[in-house]
Amino acid sequence: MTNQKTAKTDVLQGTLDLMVLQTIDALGPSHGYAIAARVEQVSKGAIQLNMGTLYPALMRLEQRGLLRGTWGISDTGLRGGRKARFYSLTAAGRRQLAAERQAWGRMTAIMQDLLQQEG
Amino acid sequence: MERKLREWFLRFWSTFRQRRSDTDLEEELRLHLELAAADARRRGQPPDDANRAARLRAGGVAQAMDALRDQRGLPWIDAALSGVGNLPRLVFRHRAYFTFATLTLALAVGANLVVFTVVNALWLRPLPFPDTDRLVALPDGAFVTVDAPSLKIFGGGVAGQAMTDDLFGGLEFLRPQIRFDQIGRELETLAVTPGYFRLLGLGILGRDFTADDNRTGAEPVAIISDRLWSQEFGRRQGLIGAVIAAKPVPIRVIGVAPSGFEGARRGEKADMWIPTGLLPRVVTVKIGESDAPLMIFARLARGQTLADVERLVQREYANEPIKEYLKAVPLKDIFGTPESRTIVIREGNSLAIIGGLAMLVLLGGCATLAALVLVHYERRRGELAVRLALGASRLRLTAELCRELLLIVVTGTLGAMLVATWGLYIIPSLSLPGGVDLGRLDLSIDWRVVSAAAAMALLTLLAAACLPVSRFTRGGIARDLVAGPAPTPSSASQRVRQGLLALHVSATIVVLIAAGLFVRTVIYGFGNAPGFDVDHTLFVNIELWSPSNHEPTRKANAAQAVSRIRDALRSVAGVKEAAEGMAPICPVATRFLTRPIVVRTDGAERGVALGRLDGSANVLSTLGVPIVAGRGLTQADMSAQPVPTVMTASLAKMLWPRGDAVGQVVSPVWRGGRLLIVGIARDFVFGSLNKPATGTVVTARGWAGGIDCQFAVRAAHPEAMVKPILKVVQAAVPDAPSVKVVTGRDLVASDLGRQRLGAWFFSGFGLVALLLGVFGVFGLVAYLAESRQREFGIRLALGATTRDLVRQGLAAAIIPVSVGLAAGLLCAAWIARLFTSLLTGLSALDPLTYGAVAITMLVCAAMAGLGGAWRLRRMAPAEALRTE
Repeated sequence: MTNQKTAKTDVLQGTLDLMVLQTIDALGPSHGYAIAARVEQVSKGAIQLNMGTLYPALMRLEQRGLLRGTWGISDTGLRGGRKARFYSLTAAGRRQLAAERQAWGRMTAIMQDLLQQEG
Repeated sequence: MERKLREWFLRFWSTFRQRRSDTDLEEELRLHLELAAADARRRGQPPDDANRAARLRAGGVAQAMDALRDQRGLPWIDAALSGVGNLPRLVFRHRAYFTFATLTLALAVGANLVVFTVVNALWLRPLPFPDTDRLVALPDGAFVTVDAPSLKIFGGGVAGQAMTDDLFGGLEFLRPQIRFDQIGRELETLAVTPGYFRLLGLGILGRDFTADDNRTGAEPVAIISDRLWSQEFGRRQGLIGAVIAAKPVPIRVIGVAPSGFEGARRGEKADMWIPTGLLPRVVTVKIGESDAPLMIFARLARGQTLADVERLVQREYANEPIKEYLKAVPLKDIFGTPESRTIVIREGNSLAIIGGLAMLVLLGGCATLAALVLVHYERRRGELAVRLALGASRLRLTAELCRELLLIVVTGTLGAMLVATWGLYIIPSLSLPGGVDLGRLDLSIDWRVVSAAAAMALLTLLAAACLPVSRFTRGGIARDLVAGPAPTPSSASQRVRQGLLALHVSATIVVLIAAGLFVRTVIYGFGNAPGFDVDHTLFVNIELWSPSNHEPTRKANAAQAVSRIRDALRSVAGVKEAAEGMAPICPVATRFLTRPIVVRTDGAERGVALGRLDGSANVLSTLGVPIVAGRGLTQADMSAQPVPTVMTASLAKMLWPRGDAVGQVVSPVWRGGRLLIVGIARDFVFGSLNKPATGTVVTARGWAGGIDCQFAVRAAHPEAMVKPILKVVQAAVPDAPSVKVVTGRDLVASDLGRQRLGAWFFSGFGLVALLLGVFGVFGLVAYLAESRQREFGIRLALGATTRDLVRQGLAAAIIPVSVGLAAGLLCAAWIARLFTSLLTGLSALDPLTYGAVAITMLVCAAMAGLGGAWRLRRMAPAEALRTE
């Protein structure tokens, strides 16, 4: 997931989709760089999504009907604006996000209880 | 789940029609890099550092594109399709390999397809009616009626079909001759009892025959086949119940048989069925209602087996002749046509032999193909190692190799279909008189055969290719290249190839020896075995009156007829001699040899399988059988007592081992009293070449007054005499129900039907296997020449001659061929025991056959090896040393 070796957090398998959906939900329609930058910012640099990880994930979510991709003009400081692909959540994407949030919440609660018990 | 399905569907669709192009994807990735670089510049990094930092954080565009392409489509299909455009160039570059591999696959799989189709049509394909396991036939039940009390042992019921030929031959006068006015050809018609269709479990569209339809004077009715209904009447519904104009009588069509049903026996292709009661009105001779002998079909009761029936028969009819006619065989083991006698095809051993043979050829083909594939990819190991080192993934490389192999599968399958189509086209012409007429079987190639061809081709290639594909796509070979020059093939690899070649040669030897044994049997059968002059004799069989003729004068009339026939035969130009007497080789004669006859000589009694030939005085000279002691028969011997007799030499020696048989008297325990031996004749076969009589006695008693009379005719060119003889005999006896003329060669050919079929079959397979073996030897030697060029170049530079190199190349191939040869000879000796009974006149270990096959194999292998080593003859040391 990351290019650098140490001091980064390994992302649990299956959480990438949740991260992307949540980020788009928070930011609204965004292009890929914005999503990657947001994730890096929120994780305080612990998670850096490279292109080879992020864009296949975006394509996969689009293929599953959870995202919709449309071309627009990026307004992030490049000369004259650049054509960029913006991803937004579909209704199915919103439902999937809600379901995964719930599942994640349940899992973290269970792990919390387990880890506290052992400690 | 639904989401995943949606994803997979879009990915599959994108393989053929991309939703997002590569340009699109690259543009998105480049924007990402630019934005990342812009961010880095905003944080104060210099532009160059910013760009580099952006690339490090975001990753490479090429790797991201690869990942996106894999997500966009399905990698396996993409890899397969992406190289399709390169295939023509690839095939041209390696044209020898692709050609040989395709030919090998086509021959091996095609030959198996032919076998599969024939075996399927003859044995495996189920009969087109239900519950066939409980259906049986009584091939020898000709003299039993369907209501006979003895048939009640078959708890499931019985039905009958009028026979138009049988073991005795000559019942074709009972063949219905019906022609519909609107259809130009004579229809193949079977006459059956009313319960026939019901017994077979078949429903009729319309109605079935009833007892009323079978009464004398009932309206002529018929049930037609679905095929006739489709082809000639366009499936017109109005036909059922309609009267069709026909000769000799109009026929009312009362029903249509189920689709696909053309008769109870394999080989039947009936257009129509009529009740047996209609027969007297539709045959060309005058017969009574009950004159038609019936083939009996029966259904076993639930839970009843053939063994139960046998026990019942033994219990109820142990001492009665009827028990001979109650022998039942499963209906699925019967082959019959209106023109030929019923044949029981219960050939368990033959099926095993033929199946084993086909497997041997396929195994040989696999071995040759495996060697070819191994050789080909070893030659390309350098190329594959370089591509792996440059970053090609193992998946992609494997996909490419699989694409090449798939091409061979496709072309090999098409080639196999062509070979199979050609083979099945010529197979009916190999049908032999007296044997199964393969032309009557449904030998069409259907979708199951096509699937079998493709599956066999794929499995063969998978078996052959799994080793090379796994070896040459592993990363290790790249390390080998990095470490040093490409090494010559390991000795283990060479041993594998040689082992495969030896295996193939063994299989080929077995097949060729079987072919050789059958061919020699046939040659012997035509030449030495019969003992009479097969090449200059014909035999005429005349049915003098029909069974329903009970006129008191029929025998007197027949005696005059025999005299007219005798004179007529002698008047035919080209006939050197004619005599009364049956053909020595014929099925009728065989029946009388099944039980030994007790023969009394002075002071001794013996049981012998004794043949008896009653003819005119000149019958032996007509047959070309010389007298070796004593005298021949004369006209005066016709009425003498004891009956003057000529005996065959072996029998005479057996009965009088120490004395002269001439002048002795022998008393066989049958009507005919005592026989006085007046002469000894050279041995000749009586009955069958496969199971001849121990010996034969010949008398000058002539025609005995029975319904049949037979003549032997001697002529220089028998084939040309058949029609003239038929014409004059039919003119002499126009009322005779049946006249048949066959040449001596036809008789022997019919008797040796199984051996001839075996000779053709094994020879065909042997040729295929030999070709495959030659390919294998050629390929092995050619590869050795190619791959060891440097070594050979060094040897040449150090003083070796090209002859030494050629000898070395040949030795590498001849050794495995020799090993395979030895193993094949041993296997053949063991397998040949299975068909010893079919080998007339020679043993299963015939040295001439084994020797000829061994020499043939060695010569072919040597020639193939010389061909493969051709380039070694022109090798120049400098050129070879430059080769890497």
